[in-house]
Amino acid sequence: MPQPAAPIAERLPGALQALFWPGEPVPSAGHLALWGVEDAALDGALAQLGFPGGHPGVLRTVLPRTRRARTRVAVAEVPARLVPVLPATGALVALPPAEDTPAWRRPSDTVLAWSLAAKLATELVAAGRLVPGLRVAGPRGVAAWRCAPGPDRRLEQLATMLPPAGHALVRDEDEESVWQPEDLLRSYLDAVADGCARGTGSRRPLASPLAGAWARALRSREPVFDLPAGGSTTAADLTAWAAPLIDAGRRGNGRVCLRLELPEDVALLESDGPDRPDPQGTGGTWRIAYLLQAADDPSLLVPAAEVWSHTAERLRAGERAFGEAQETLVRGLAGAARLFPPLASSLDEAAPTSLDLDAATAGEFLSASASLSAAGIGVLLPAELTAGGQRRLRARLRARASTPAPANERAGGLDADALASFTWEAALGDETIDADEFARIVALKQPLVRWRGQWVRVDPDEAATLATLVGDQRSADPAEVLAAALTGERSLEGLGRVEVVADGVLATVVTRLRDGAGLEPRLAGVKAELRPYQARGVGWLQTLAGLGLGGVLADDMGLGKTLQTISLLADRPADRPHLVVCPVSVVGNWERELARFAPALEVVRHHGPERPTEVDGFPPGAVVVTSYGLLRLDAELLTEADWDVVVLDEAQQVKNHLTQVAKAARRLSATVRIALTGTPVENRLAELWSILDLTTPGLLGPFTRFRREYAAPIERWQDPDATRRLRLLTGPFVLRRTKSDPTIAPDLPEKTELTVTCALTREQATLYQAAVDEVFATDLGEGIERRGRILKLLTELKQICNHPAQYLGERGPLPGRSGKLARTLELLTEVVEAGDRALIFTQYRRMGELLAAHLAETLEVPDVPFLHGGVSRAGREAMVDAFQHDDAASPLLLVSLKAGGTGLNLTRATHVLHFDRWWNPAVEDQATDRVYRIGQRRAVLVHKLVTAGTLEERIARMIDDKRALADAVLGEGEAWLTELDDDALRELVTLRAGDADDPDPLATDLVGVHA
Amino acid sequence: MSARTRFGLTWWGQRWIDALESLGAVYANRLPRGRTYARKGTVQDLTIQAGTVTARVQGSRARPYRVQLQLPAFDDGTWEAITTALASRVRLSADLLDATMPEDIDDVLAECGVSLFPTARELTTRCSCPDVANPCKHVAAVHYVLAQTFDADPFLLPTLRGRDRDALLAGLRAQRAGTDLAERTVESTADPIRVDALVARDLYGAAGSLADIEVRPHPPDDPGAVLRRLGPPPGLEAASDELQAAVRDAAAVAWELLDSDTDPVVGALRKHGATSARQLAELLAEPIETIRTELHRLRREGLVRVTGRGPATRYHLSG
Repeated sequence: MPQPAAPIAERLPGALQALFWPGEPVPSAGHLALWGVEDAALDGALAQLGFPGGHPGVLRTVLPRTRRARTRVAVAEVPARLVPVLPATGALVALPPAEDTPAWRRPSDTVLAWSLAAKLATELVAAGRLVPGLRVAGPRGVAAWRCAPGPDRRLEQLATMLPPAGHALVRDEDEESVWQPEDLLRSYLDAVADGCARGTGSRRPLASPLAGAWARALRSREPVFDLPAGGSTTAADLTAWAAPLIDAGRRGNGRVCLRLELPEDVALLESDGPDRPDPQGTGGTWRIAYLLQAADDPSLLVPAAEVWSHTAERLRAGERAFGEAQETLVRGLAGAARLFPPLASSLDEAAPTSLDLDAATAGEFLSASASLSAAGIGVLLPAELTAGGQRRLRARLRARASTPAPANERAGGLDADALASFTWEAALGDETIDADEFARIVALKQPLVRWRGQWVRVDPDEAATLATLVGDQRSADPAEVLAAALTGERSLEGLGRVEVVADGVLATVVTRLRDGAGLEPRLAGVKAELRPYQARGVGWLQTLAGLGLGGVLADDMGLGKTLQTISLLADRPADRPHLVVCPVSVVGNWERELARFAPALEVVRHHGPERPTEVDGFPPGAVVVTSYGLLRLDAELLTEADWDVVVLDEAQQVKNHLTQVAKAARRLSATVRIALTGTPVENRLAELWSILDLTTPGLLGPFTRFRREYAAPIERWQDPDATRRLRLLTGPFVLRRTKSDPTIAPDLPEKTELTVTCALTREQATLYQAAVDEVFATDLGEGIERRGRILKLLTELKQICNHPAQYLGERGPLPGRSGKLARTLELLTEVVEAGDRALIFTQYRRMGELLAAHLAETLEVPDVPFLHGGVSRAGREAMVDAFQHDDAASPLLLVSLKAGGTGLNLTRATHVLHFDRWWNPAVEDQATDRVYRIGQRRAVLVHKLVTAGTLEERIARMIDDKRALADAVLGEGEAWLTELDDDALRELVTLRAGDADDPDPLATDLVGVHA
Repeated sequence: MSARTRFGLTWWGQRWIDALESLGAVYANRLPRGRTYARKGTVQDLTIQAGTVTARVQGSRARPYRVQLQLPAFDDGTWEAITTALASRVRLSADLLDATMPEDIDDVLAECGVSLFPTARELTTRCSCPDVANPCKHVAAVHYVLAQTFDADPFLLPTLRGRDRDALLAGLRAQRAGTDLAERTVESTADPIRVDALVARDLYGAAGSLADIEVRPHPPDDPGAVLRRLGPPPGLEAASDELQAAVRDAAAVAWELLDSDTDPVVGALRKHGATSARQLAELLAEPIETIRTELHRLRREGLVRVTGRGPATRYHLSG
């Protein structure tokens, strides 16, 4: 007697799982069952993955027998939500593929597998792969649709991968068995087919009562009907009728393929003279060859003659075997003859291998080829005669753009005032056909015409459309024309994709954009040694700016986006001001770097209470630095100015195209807009659209169209054609290099240390001032007492710089109170979004605990572990192991500087963040070394956070100045600070509005940081 | 295209009955009695083998009567001639594979001097009933059921004459190839999976990389073509146009599922579940009035529903 299984709740997997639960009487009555967490948590788990609400149910499936069972399972009834098949399918197809989601946000494998099944089902139904059927149930008939998966093996492949929990639905017939994966998948595919076909119909009466009742039952929500006499025989006939489609996948893995071949003797007939179009007459013999084609590898073709000569049921070709090869060919030809009747004559032969036909019939075959393909019959056409081919009389758009006179100073550039237009023309090959020639060709009314010695396809319908279009010209938005010229095509209602060629200035612009970073950079005025990839980046920026176009520089954090941008600004004509918009936390950084790398540029801070309020405050040639918060507040002033270059730093701030910030940014008037971001923007298409819409408005068209044509097909099923077109379109405007890029890595040092300057909030500044005032209000005393008071003060000030909540011993709230925390979140967001890992060091256990909870919640990552002195040895090992090896674990790890000491190997991190400073470089270095000492091949970025205007900044400078001496002089701890006299101490701790290159430490507020 | 009779049989099923009726007046008179009998479902365990049909018919006694029909199978020489004739035109094989008896089958076989259907003195029948008349009503009933069985699978007629589907197809292949028969492989069908065959630690993991399976949907081009390739549904030809329309509509519905638009507010609700307007405003960094207007529109379109009231108001995606 087996022992009773442990309670259900303990054995649930804890993540949402999916399986299909078939229903009666028709497939679409089935539901997607979602389960895996406790009943109370189910609705939330459904909503998180975008599933519409389902009704509660109990699912009979299997669970591990006990909480820890590795082998034994037991049947269990688990709480579930049941979602009807169509809404469930809608949610499943919207899930991105697994590899596009970080491991910790990834849905379970059963959900991903069913998402794939949903995409497959909708692909098949959208291609018309569904057949009607009739089931007899006593005196009544049940009309239902089934899905015909086709001869490829994807369904079978998916069935072998489906996790057991994805099909472990206990069968009604037998308690001790579950559904077989392929059966369950087929039944789901049928459900999608049945669901899509129902509720769409008209109700025309039909001549035959049985046909009428059946057709109505197939299209309505009421599938059951009274069966007229003879119905049961018909049901059997229908099953046999549909069998070739339903069983295609089970029987064989090949399909018939028809290959159109050009007349061989065409070369002999060149005597007509080059320019005379010639109707078929003398034009040789066309041929359709019959082949067997592998369904999953269209390039594998077996000629019919070879198929007929093999008697075995399975035909071997290379490494592949076709089941029922001859039968596939026989049936395929008969089916093809229904769609293209001239093939019927081959059916009277014993072993037909091809059909000879004249040019007119070959033309008809070309017209029928779309329907043949749609019916699952392979069609191979000579390349030049395909729908996209060159030897085809086709409509083409000629794109032109010209800059208005007088020519502007950016020779060859485009701007919003450029005149741009599309002109329709007829084309053959690369050539434009003039009106006379066109008229002569069309007048022949032949589908295949010989012209200049070659066969040319003239689709009669297309030719008629073409005749109405040729010569038509209309002006268009320059960005639209540029987009069409870059992709070489344009999507038009009713005409599909139309080829586009560029002319004149536009053609030059396209060539220059495609060559991209090839331009030699001009680096005058830049006081820095640029690494080779940085110089290439500057060349690219200058090319774009020279054309009056914007772009996105999306290099990894630490590759020097700021320096490359400053190099661009340094070389611009000084006729108008430039604007840099950035988060408030990096305003000071921009000012410092501008002063350091391009000292000749005037810098105007548009930040703090003293900021300019008139356009006159922005002199030509100056770089104005402002924050996103002020862009929103002072939108009126900033949009009034006429900018040359506008730089949008950390452009992920404006990624949601609806935000106020984005609206204000879009209204800025500028020659060139450059966006900087460190997130992998090319993989997040909504984000890419928003940012490019700011830098290069109109290029990607309206968002809804972009989503339909690019984002959905690429994100949901990696559509290769959409990917290719998007690359053509956006490639010239987006430059992204990663640290691991083989062309970049050799240029990078293995460790880069960055001092990250943060601002104080008003609350922090008040607390800081009060703490300093209190200490100096009385005498500091002598000896141990003095040292104690100084250490206490230093600790308090460091805590205030970290976060008021740490200093005040509060649990929260945390947001908006610490400039350092805000900057940390910005940095770590970028790290997490880029799929990197980071270690965060702090000296304070209390701060670490506050951070751990806050980071996990704000950045939406799994629980961030905190490795400190109180963690057991086993606990530490588990944390290190998870960080190093577990993709689903948090990409962040908090470490107390005092913990662990040696023996930690955390080489998976590529970022180290010192949240607070240990005023001893040796200790910091030792911590940093954990990341890059052993096995580290990637460059490591070390961010040291320092609060501007406070003791943190001044101590940091002292350490940097004396770095060489540091180890010797400073010893082990921070005791050296307690030896300072009163004046030196006061000098050290006094809160200052700052040295020339400091941002305002009393930043008014952190507006913009959380926008 | 198959012609229909008032019995709802295919032409070849009807042809079977006709052939019997033409055997003589006794058959013609007695057969119809079996029809009613057959409709009552009294015929069981019908099996068709080379040369023999057996069945059991439930009569007035408790124990069913055993019925046996015998029709000579063709000899190998005849079959070779038939196979040669059938292989001369792929249309004949295509029809058979599509579960239709070629309309000119009689002509084809006449060339070989035979017919699939019974001719005089070929057919012998036996029944274990006490009725001395032959054919008795049990035999007649079996004939009707047999005709119906042939309707569904035209390969059963050649089976009765000595070549089942696989043998006939193999013969046809050999004819086209001009060589001897080769061995065939058999595919098995999968059984349900036993619960005790499942292993706890493997329950939730995919066996392989799902990314290996490519899905490439494209907007419906000519979705009706798949169905047209099959030809009109037998016996329901009148529904053809309606089916074409249904398939086109279904394809459009499926494409809409793939192509549905995503609204930022809908996206946020999808991601965060039940949310208040204020939370949405923070998440999307939009003024709360904009969010409220948007939510109002989405509610009107039925995409969003509301629970709670006052400060507890929450918005959800509707089902």
